[in-house]
Amino acid sequence: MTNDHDKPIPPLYACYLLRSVPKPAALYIGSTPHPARRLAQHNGVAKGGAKKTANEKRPWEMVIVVEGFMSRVSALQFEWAWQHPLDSRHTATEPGQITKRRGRRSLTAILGDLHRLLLSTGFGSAPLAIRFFADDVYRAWAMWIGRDGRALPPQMKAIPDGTCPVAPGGQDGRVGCVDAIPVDSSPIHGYLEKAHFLLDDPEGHLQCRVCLGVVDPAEERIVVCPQPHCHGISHLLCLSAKFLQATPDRDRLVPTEGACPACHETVSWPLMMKELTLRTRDAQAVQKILRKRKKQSSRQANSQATSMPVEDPHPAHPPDDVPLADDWTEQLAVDSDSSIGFPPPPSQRTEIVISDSE
Amino acid sequence: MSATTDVIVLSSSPERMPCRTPTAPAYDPERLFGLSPRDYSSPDVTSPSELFRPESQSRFFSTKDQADGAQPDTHEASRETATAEEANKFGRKTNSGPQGVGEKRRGRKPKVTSDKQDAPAEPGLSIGEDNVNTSEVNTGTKKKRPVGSKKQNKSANKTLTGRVAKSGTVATIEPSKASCCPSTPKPSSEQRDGQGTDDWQNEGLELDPAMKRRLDWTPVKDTTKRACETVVELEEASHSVNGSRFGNLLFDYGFNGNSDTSRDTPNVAEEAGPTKRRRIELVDSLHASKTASDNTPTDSETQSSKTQKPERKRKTKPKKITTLTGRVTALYKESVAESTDSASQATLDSGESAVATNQNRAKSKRTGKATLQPQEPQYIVLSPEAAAKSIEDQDLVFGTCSQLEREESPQTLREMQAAIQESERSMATGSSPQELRPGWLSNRMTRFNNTKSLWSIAARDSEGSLVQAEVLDMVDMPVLSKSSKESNKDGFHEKSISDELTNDNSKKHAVIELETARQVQAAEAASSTALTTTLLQEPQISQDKPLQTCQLTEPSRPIPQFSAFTDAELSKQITSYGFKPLKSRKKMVELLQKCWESKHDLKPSDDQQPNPPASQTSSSQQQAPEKRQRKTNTTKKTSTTSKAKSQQRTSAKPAATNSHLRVSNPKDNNQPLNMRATTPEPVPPRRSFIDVEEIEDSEDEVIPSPHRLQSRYTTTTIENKQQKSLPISSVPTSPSKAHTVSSIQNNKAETTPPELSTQITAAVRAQTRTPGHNRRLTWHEKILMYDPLILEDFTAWLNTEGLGLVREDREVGAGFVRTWCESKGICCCYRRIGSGGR
Repeated sequence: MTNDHDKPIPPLYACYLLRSVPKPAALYIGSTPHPARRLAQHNGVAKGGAKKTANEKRPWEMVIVVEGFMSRVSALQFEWAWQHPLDSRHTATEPGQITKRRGRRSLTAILGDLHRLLLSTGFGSAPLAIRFFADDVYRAWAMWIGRDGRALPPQMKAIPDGTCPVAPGGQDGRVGCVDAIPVDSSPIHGYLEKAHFLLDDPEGHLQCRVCLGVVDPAEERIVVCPQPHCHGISHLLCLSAKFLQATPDRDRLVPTEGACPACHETVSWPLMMKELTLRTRDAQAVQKILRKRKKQSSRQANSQATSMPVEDPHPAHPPDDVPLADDWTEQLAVDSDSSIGFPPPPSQRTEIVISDSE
Repeated sequence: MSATTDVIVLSSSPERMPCRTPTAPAYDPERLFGLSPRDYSSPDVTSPSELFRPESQSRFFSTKDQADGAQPDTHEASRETATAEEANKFGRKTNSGPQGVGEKRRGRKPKVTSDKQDAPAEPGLSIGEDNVNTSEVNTGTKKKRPVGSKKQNKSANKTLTGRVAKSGTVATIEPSKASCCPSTPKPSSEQRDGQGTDDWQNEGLELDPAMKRRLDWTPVKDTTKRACETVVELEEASHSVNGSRFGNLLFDYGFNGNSDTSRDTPNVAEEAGPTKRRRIELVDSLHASKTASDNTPTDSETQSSKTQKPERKRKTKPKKITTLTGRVTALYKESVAESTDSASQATLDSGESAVATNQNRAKSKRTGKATLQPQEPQYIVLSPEAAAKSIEDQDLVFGTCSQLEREESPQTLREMQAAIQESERSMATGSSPQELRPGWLSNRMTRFNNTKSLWSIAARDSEGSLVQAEVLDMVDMPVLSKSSKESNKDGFHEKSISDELTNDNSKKHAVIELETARQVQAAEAASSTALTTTLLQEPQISQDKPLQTCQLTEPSRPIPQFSAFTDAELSKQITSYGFKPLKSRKKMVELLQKCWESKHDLKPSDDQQPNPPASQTSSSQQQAPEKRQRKTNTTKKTSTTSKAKSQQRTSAKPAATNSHLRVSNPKDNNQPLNMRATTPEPVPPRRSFIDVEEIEDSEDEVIPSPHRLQSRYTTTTIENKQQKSLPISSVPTSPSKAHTVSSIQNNKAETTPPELSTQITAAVRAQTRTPGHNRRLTWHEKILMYDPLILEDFTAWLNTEGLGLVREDREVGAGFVRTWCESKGICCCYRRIGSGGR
């Protein structure tokens, strides 16, 4: 078994489109679990593989971030398919379509490939979010969608972000800049904490809301409702069967969402799976998180954060960032050194410094 | 002012000046100034800009500038004396001399402005003093130039002005070069200048040859002539100087203006001569061309006359014009006139011995060149008669055949056949009262005429109730036709066509079919048995197939002209075929044509069944890798035929009507016009058809038609192969690429796609947690938790346990499992990451 199997769903794995600032025609498709760090690498601010982008086309800007991949493999496959639309099975040429010539693609072509990829059967059911950090790119995307006529699958959402004007929908999902994209499991910490406490019932009175059978959190996959105040728990298969029954497509094996049997709120399946995998597969991280949550809660006498982790990010985030510092240091050891030590100096200088540091 | 004067000056100045490079500069400035003093001064100012001109100009002009600049700046007095002397020595200068002196001063002043020239000029003075022998002017120029050239060749270039006078000066510096080698670079010229100047001074300057030579170098002829005219007077005066050897050398070397013209004229004369020969050659060449041995005539020509080559070209052109008629006639004439040639030609025509004939030709040419020349014109004269004769003979042999064929018009025959068939159909329909209505016919007519494509689309889209009946007929054709042959009233018509088709095509097609069947069987042997059963039927059916194919091919003829459609219509059409509209109009047209062809080739199947089943068959077969395209085709046909048979049995319609319909379908599309004429009178068409049968006996008509049909058949089949791949995509999960690893498995799976995929799904759902191993995730749990599935493990589980849970005995391959996963949006990969990355 590969490592991926025992790992929880990554808090973030994203594919992104880079665009050169001095040469807007130069584009680059990549994938990363940490867009901000990766962007720094591409721009030479941080050390790390960025061969193709280490040239006069720097600096790069991340104009599109496709996030929400449920596994690293999935993200890598998506990246590959996006990079090689002509070779990928997911974007295999449609019946009447004439194969285009290979070579450098324009932004429009890349957007078209992205659109096709998002509509493909392989990724059409993935809970992806597409963030646009450049206004013109988003406009091109909107134009493409309007021209193609096929809307994204319902569980996907295109988020105008960064310099894009605020959509009529409001600030929904906006993070402002690439650096602000949450790359860790902080958004579900509260959810995780709640689930942990909810399932921490040594007396064994837990009951599956669907089959009404006894639940054994240690041996079974138990899903907890992400709604803060809901105490609904159920077996993985029970809940999925319930959700799948509600979906029109009988052949589906994975639901996208469903109504919680306890609170009847519509809950996201991927979110629950994130929490479930994190809780069941990374005990150490869970313990860490729980400890920090405890500190926080103790600091905040009347903390609402425990019950409102996902829904109100603003109060919860700043405190969450502090506990996350550990993870960040692990992931961003180089970045933090360079970025903190030498904030905005010319890229070459920073590179040299980095080399010295090691 | 400047232009005219300059031109004259140029001619004059170069005459002597170029030879005496050193002297020339001195003269030039004088002359120039004399002719156009003020102009000269002004150009000097402009000179710096001109410095950068190309070498040709720069050489001539630059020298002048140098000379001008250097001389006036450094030695005004010496110049004056030099000019005076020059004027005395050279008659021409006498004219311009005095003016030049006065003007020089004027011109010099502005020239002085150039610093560079000043500097070189000083050393030049000293040199000039030393060197002055023949003429002060020469010395002065020499001094100045060498100085300028040595130190400032480049600078001299910079000072170059566009004036003619400068050209003379240029000649002065580089004339030595020019005498030796006109295009030598300047640096070499510098060195030579020193030597050359001495020689010049000693031997005297021969300006006349230099002028001529220079003129030669000047590209334009007109200018040379003018220059010559103008110069003549001056030359006369200077002839005395020409006595020196160097001058002779120059003279010999130099002017070929006359020679050039002479060259041209002799060429023309030669051309005229060769033309005659060419005529002979032309005849030969014609024969040669026929015999495909052009070399021999060319060789003979080369031997005979070198100049003939250009002549050949010219002559060949007119010959080409006459060739079509003339060649044929010429052959006959030659045969009459020259037995040898005719024999050679005949041999050539036969192609028995090309070499021998070539030799014969050459000999004949050599011996009879003189005689041939007069004879050839005779050929031409005779040609009309010979042409008439030849025409009579040629009718059998040559191009008339094509004309005859066209005039005889296979089209008419086709039309006749089509009309007959139409009439018969109408007759047959007559039995069924509905269709006999003239209005109905007209409707059909219009339908097919105007909107063929729409009809086809309608057939497809309407879910085929109408089409089905016809389709059934089509399939039944062979059997019915056989039966009809034996005992049917309508059978005569069908007989004729079908028999022909069968006779001509059935053999070939049968062979093809058998081959395909064999291949298919071979391929199938490895794969599932389900197909093999169907395939086994093929050889039996193969005999019948040719009929189908033949008739099918005919309807394909009237492909709607998609190119004439508007974009909107095209897009509609494409969408009607289930494709996404394309941007490119051209591509849309191509796609539509393909679709149309495929549809009509598959017409029986499509018509037989409403669209969904057809699509199913296609889709199921589509997924097969390209290797097996052929198999798929055959299988399709078999399936269609078998279905057709089954339906036929079920169908209650009489065989006769079926046969009529069957025949009528293709004919309808073919030629409605004939139908109109024939339809009103059903009976006569039969007769006419009988007549047509007679025509069939005529080989001209019968033979071509089967070929056409065959060609169409082959082409259509090929297209079918390509086209069948198109609908494949309708199945979303079908892998675009043929996966070598799992191609076989894919085939298996694809042969029975719905069941296996659904079986996998069922197996995944059916898996229950083993009580003892609660820790172990079921596959559905993994899927629910977005775990990437390891294809090897998952496939192994399916084959060992999973499919057994749903009582599925078949096994699945990793490739098929992957397609299944992707169709479900499940992330999967091979254990070795990277191979399954796509």
